[in-house]
Amino acid sequence: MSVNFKYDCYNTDHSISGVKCVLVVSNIDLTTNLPTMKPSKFLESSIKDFTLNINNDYRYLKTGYYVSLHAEILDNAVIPKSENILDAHRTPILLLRASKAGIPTFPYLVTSSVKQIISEIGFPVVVFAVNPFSYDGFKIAKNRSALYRAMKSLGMNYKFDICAQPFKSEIISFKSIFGKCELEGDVERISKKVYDVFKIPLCKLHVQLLKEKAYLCGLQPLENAELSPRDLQVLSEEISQLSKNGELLVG
Amino acid sequence: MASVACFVEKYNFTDPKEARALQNFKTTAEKRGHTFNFMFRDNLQEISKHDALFIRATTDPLFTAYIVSKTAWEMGLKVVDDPKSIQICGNKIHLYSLFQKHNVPTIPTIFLNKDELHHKKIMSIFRTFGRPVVVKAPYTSFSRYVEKVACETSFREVTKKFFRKSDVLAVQEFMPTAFDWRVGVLNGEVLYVCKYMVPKGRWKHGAKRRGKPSFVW
Repeated sequence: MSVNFKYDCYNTDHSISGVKCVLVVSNIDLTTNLPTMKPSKFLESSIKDFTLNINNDYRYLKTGYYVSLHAEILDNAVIPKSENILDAHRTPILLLRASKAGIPTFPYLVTSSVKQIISEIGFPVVVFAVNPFSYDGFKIAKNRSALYRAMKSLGMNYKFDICAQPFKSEIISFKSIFGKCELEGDVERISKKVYDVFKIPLCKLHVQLLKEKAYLCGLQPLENAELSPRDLQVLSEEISQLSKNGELLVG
Repeated sequence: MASVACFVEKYNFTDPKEARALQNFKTTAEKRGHTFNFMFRDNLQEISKHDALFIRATTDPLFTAYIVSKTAWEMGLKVVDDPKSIQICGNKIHLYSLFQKHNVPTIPTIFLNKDELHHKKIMSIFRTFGRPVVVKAPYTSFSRYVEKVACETSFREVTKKFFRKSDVLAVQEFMPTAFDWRVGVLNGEVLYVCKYMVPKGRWKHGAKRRGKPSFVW
């Protein structure tokens, strides 16, 4: 049951030469001058427009997911799409689609069997949750008992599978804002490519660096508290830039 | 001829009838010249060796079935159930939104956000739908995570439990029924309909009638 929501954008001239108004739906306090709407208001509305969904947590069944879903039900072009949200937060699908797009990844194994991981990957191994509820992304196991603990915890008591990858070097975790990050080189390229494929505006990426080459390992949501004033500024600038380009940027 | 993988979980074989049904699928496929192999969680890396994937485990974006379906889809296999169908049918909010959008008659439904759980909203729901109302978690199947509530206390209790996993829930008017229908559709064509009986004295599925199955073909 939806109700029409009166949105300021339609009463004031926020549109930019020839481009339709961009509807920014955000649970984050942005510093942009663009009108923004809270997710709960948007979910009650039936506004038809290009929707930019900004949320620190896009996991399946969370508000960030439902905002994109609601926009799609209204036939709005939206960033990010609900399908991409679903795929990006399930590590095996993230890695599969990323590698198809030319992003370097390590081989992975989806399983709930410790024995299989030991025989096919060995130690050390990095274990990612496949269930959509876990916030903290991964654990590194260097022996059998650590692997059992990791699988019990990330598999929610063995109910869900996990995604295991060889642990070959250090893991670097960083914030990615519209594909931009504070790091340079290969890591920066991965950040941009992941955004090109999945269009997740705000997330944390995990990569392994091996001989100066970066390999994508996983993606997880950000805590609101992890966003610094500088991040908010970058985020707001990117949103302003996107609003100028409007729907053309929806992949 | 095709190589067909059938993704199953261990629980698919606990009911002898279901185990027999799975064997029937295998026999029929092989009679027609296809190869048909059961695939469990631990040999998912073999997906790419097959031409088609048939999923018999619970199809929900929360479970491995979605990973399997999407992986096969990305690898170019024919998949039943395909990932888009799983995304839609595994989430009641998605499903009911599409019903409303395409004017498919449904039980009067509203969606409740986590932020809206307050006295005024609850009272307005009771005024609109009367009492009791039915609260559903989006990932419900076979009447699990579906509860009937008639007062604010139980409304809060049930929604609090369901909001742990999902930020949006479905609330519906209570419409008692003795049965409902399951409709099997393949490639846009109806394959079968199956009448699901609600056990006597109950208002939802999930229980057998004196040991008898609660569905009628």
